[in-house]
Amino acid sequence: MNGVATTGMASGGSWLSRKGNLQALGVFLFVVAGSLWALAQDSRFVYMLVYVWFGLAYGMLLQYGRFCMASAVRDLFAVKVPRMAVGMMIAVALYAVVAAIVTLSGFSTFHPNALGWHIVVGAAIFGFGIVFTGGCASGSLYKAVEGNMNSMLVVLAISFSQAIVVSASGWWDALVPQSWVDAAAAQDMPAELSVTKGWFDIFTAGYIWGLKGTTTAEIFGMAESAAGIVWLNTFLTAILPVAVILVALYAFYYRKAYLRRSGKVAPTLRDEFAGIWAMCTASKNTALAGIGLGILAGLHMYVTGALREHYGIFNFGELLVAMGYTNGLSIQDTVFDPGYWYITTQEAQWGGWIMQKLGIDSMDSIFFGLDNGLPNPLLNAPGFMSIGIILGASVMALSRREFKWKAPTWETAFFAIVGGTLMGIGARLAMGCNIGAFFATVTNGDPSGWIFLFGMTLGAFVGVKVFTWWMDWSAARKGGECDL
Amino acid sequence: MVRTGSWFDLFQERPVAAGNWMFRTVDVPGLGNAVVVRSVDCLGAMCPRPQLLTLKVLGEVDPGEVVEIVLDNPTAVEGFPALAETLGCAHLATVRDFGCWRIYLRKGS
Repeated sequence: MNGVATTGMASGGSWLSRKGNLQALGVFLFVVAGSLWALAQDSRFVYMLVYVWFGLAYGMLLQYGRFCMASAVRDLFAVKVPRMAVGMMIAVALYAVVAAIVTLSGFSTFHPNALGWHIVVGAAIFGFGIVFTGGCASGSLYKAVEGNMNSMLVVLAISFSQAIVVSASGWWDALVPQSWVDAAAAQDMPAELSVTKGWFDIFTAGYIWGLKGTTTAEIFGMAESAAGIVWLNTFLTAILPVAVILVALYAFYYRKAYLRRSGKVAPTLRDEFAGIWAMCTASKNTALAGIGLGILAGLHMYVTGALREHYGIFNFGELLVAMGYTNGLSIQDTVFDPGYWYITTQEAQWGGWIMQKLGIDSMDSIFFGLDNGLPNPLLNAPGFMSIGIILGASVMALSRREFKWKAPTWETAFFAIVGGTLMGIGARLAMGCNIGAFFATVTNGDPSGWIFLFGMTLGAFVGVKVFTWWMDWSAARKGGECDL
Repeated sequence: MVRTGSWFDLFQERPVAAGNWMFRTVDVPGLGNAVVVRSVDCLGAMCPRPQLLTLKVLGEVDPGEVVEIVLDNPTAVEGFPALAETLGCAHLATVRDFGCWRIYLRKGS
């Protein structure tokens, strides 16, 4: 009985006679008009519009499937429900298959993440945070568009906490090991970056740069061969772990209830497969969103890769320079431009850009000054993907009449800000969030993403314990007031 | 229970609390009349609070009794059929109302 009945709602009439649909159409036409305007300014803005339109599609699918990657790990411990974990695995499998095709065609934009302990630590902090914010970085974006002010606070907290973490310098600089400082000083870096000042700079130059990021095919020296890409990167690094995780989710979270419901006392192997299939299709919206997100995330790399080839560039910064926009570029004339779905870094740039306008300059940091730049948000390509997600989710939320202002209480606002700050810190330590450091990595043959998932799961486990304790404690404190 | 509220109401602090005992007969679509013994008010709540409150309330009612959960968080609504399966409850219906959803679960034996 999964259908949703409607009571007391206006029905009938043409599709356009409904206010929500009209508003959704308005948002969509706004994106079309904005895109045409940008192209009229300079046809090379098509590079940025690719991010916008893929973002729009991601936003629509995220809202359609109520795709919440935070609940993928959280719900396993909080309520023992595997629904979203399954949805996420479906998306990983599809993305991996499309990514293999993109890599084989030579248009992959993927860069592996550095492999080290920082991933577990950062991911655990991130995973702890998401339990309190009620959504990951992408999830908070689409939930904010549903009118959830807690999620808006989360987005703000993620943006500013990251911008501060990557650029602030103070007594905490002394917390790094001397070997990192020495290693950072030994790097041949321009003095204006002051790489031995600022915790995150020392961490990056003294620790991260000493690590190696690689794909499984590269480890076996088969990065250039089709067999390496298909078997080692796609099958061994993505499909096989997904299959193992799906079987484990079925065995631990779904099997008992499924067999009881279907009245199977002595299940055959066929029954078990039917059970796994039932688990994967239990929530059709989520499964469909997983399939769509997986395929689009792969295609996104292809389109950006093809455009880079077309313009003969490696980074959007080169195109910005050619178009005459030189403000906010890094000292290498680059900007953040992953070429695939990414969330946290562009939010850090938003925070950093606003701080810069307020007089706090952070261009002496490696993160902004050397790598990602601090472009005007109107010229921030991945930033426009986030805006695309916001607009896409609003199209969907408006047409489904799911927009409603939801005000925070003091408690939820506190959780949103503290949780969002922890997510920001965790994402920077781990060099990405559940999208950039997990979803985009394991699907492209970089096993470091599984370490991120492990750390995030660990953090979510502790987060659920603390959250449950807090709920019990606050209920007991209020006594009979809420009868719990 | 239907919130028609003004803008001002939206910004008022409104603690989320699990409902008191009640015995209300509701017409559950596709099922007919059912007696709801507890209503869990999760308006404005972020996950995982609605799920955890539901878990607690279900722990306090008897098998066969019906519990109502009032939600305005679409993501949480999506997850309730799966939650009901895990808990061995029957998910009777999800009803769309003004500004919220009402989910009816019957506790299993």
